[in-house]
Amino acid sequence: MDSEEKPMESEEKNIITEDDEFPSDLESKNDHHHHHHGEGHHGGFFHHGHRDERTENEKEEARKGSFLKVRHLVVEYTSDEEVIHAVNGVSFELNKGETLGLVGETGAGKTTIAKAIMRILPQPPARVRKGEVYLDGEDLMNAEEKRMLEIRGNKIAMIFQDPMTALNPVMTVGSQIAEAVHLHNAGISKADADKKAVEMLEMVGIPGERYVEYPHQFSGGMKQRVVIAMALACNPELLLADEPTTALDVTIQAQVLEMINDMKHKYNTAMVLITHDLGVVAQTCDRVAVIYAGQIVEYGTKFDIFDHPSHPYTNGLFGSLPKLDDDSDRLSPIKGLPPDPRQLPRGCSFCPRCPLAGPECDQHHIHMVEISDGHFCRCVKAVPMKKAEPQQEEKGHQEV
Amino acid sequence: MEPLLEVRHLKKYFYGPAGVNHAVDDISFRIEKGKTMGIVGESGCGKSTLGRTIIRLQDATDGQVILSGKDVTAAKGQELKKLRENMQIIFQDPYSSLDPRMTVEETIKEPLILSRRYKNKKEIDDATTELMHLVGIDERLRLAYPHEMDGGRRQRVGIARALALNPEFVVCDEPVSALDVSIQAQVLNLLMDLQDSRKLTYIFITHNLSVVRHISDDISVMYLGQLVETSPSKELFKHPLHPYTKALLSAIPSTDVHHPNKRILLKGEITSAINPKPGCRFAARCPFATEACQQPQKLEEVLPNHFVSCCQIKKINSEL
Amino acid sequence: MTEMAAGAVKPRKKESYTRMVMKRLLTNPTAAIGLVILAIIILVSVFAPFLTKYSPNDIDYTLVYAAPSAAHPFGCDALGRDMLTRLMYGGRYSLTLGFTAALVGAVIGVSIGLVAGYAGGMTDMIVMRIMDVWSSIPGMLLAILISTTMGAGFGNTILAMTVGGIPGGVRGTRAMCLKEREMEYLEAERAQNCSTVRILFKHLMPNVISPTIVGTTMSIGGTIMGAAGLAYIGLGIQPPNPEWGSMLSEGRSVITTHPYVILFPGLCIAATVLCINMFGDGLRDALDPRLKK
Repeated sequence: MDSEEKPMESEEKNIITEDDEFPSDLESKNDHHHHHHGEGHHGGFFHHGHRDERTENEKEEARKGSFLKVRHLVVEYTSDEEVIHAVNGVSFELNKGETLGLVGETGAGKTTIAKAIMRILPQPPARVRKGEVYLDGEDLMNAEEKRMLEIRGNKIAMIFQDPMTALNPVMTVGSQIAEAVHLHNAGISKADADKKAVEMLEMVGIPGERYVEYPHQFSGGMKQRVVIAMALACNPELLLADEPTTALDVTIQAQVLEMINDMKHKYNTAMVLITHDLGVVAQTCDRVAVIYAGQIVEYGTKFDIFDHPSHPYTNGLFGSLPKLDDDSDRLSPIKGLPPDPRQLPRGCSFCPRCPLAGPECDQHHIHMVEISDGHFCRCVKAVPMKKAEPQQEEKGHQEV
Repeated sequence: MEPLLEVRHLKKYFYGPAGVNHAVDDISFRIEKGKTMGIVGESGCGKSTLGRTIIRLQDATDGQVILSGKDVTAAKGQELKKLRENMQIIFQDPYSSLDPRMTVEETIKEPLILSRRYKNKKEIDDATTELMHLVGIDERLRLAYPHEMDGGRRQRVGIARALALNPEFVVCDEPVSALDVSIQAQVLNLLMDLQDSRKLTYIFITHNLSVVRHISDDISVMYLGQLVETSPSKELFKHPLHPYTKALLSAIPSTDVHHPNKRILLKGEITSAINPKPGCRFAARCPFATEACQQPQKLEEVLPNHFVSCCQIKKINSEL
Repeated sequence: MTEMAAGAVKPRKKESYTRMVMKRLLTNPTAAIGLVILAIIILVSVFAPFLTKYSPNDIDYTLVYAAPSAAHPFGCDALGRDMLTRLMYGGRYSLTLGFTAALVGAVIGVSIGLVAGYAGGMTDMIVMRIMDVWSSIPGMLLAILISTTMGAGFGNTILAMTVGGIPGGVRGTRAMCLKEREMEYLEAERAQNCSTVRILFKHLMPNVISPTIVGTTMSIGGTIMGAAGLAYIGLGIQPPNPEWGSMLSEGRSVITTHPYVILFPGLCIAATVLCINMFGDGLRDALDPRLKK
């Protein structure tokens, strides 16, 4: 649309590269001493610019390990003759009981990632161009639809963003929960499914007698709790929560987040929490991936991200927030607007808005740099730090 | 100093089949020229209704609104029209607050045309250009339609429209809630810049406490149509007195990863203001509620400039 | 403060709204085809005297039910009159009838619907109850009633068809208004002292009219068929005026022996209605600034 940015040929774009890596924290800890020699090393993903020449054994090893592995996910949407590059090479891992926060603004691709994992993207117009998803060692991208039906709602559950539209208005809430139970427990009697539904309602703080009520009889917060009850009804091992509390009032949000945390601890559920609210991330997530223009630009534990934000975009996000303990007069927003996913800039997607942009930023694909143990940043200015103590305030990219 | 805006015992009730909804129930406050009063509360607290009632988009059921000495609530005809030009509103939803069939230019021109202040087309065009420049909309978007622009730009058009006739007073009804975080910051800065340069007086309605603290001089907290606490911003965050305010503040997820929130969790849900019982409407969820709370509460100055509507206030806050 | 960001809007030359609508219409193949064929039909009807050497009332008893030939491409009817000529002149009646009735009905219906939908409350309730009664009378029946009481003929047929079409316009517009009136841009207009009339017709109407435009164009087809139906049963437009419906009716008796007598009027009606519908769809799309190409 805008004549200033030239569209890139797909080969040049940021997106399709084998070499874009992203090891899991656990793996990198275990294989730490192997990192800088790491080609073809089993389990380690650090291939600096090499094609995937791993042997079958190595691939097998790659599949094992973390509970959820997402590798090189690339998703496009085609509309008319335009291609929208929604997700451009995302990789991450998650273990049971952990929560990964996917942070980014509208259009960054977070929801697309979650839907791709569940394989509920409508194809067309969406297309998973590349990528692997392994859940507990099982390949989800190539699984039969029959198998996916068994997995959805059962092993993986998703909480959608808008509680107002996530519930079927003509079914009672109880029957919607019972339906989920029934689908994944072959042979369960209706009475037992109903009983489980009542149990779930109670667990999320809704009186069991409200089983027979319809969604419109509940407030927004309660609806979201019903949605959560539905998601958790079959004890999923992985929960994908897409902005579960964005539409809720802050006091209700506090209740719902508390409840999700309780459930998580009780069942040791792995969770991917999609949000744009950094406060929510700080309070609920173990690990954080900051997403911009369909790529992870920074990844680390919550302490890494909040104490040592490194990527200029992450810093920009923090700068945009009015803080409760900060008396400065004006906010420091990121100038400009997010890029058009139909025409991503060459090189670093954030370059046009970046205060640190330089000539090396817009030529080539930018790789992830590990700036400290398990903390990664996709920025040419990011420099590996010495192991930082929590009270130091250095930001990785300022050390030149 | 005479306040620019004074709201006195303002009430707005809606009469419906389910009963009487006391959306705004006996609200009073004052705002001085050039200042911002933040109104915070959660869904159903009546803050949007309050904003609209103050500028006569809805007629009040009772009470008075005085703007620059003139009675807004009682004004009629030509007088009301003149008053309207002095008090404008910026809406929350950048998607429904602009006429989808009007270009940016047409939307901004509309108030200029309606007011008949400008004699000819050229004057109107010039004024439009100036307004676009003022809020930071590029000239080449002049003929763009709302659906061609993102939320942040649409909101700027809404701001330009609101300022077209140079009002002294603007109600900002959640102007940044629907925007992305980085765009929010841009628009907030814009609003603050405009306030400085044009000596605007704002009512800033929001549910986002960090935003309201940043932009407001004073804050009023509402719950189900009632005003529960009002004080200068910084004071409110340093010493929240009302149990609802405390719960609200504690519910904000903080970005401090080393010190997790100690959240005060309220029991139950927000009910409704339809046919309410007399007394404090927060009592049903309040951990400190007593019999006395069922009596009508009065807004009292408990600390300098810090008003609270709670009969238990001294028991809850030992430092008072 | 101005932002130059990726994904910004292309600068555009000043383009008038009508020009833009026309452009979008003409790039839509279905609409363009419909429009072109419709235009041809209309032009043929208007310029009929120049296109045919016959008069629609030229009776020739030697040519009764003559089959299609070079001299009479569509054959002749029961009185030996040239079918093609009669169809051409007949277009004037059918098209005028269809368009006038539908348009007048729409204008009245939309105006009432706007007021009812925007005002809500008691006004809305009264209007809708009246419309309920009105539309409970089947359209054809209403038309027949009017025709029989006030007499047949062109003018009364238009009246009959108009009256039948009003409740539809009211309902559709009012339903759209109920949804649209919650929109904040209307509140914004009120905050700027915009008069209610201006709000209704400059702001509300353009945003709710799309379904009505489609509905109205579709109803043109229905109106033409309704008039044809009236003529078929002997009401409506009277012979010897060539009207497609009455021509259809005249061909009833010889449908097995001389099918072309009923075929060509039927085709005319069908073709016209189809083209109107194709055009109507395209028009609705072209009028909506939100719709991507």
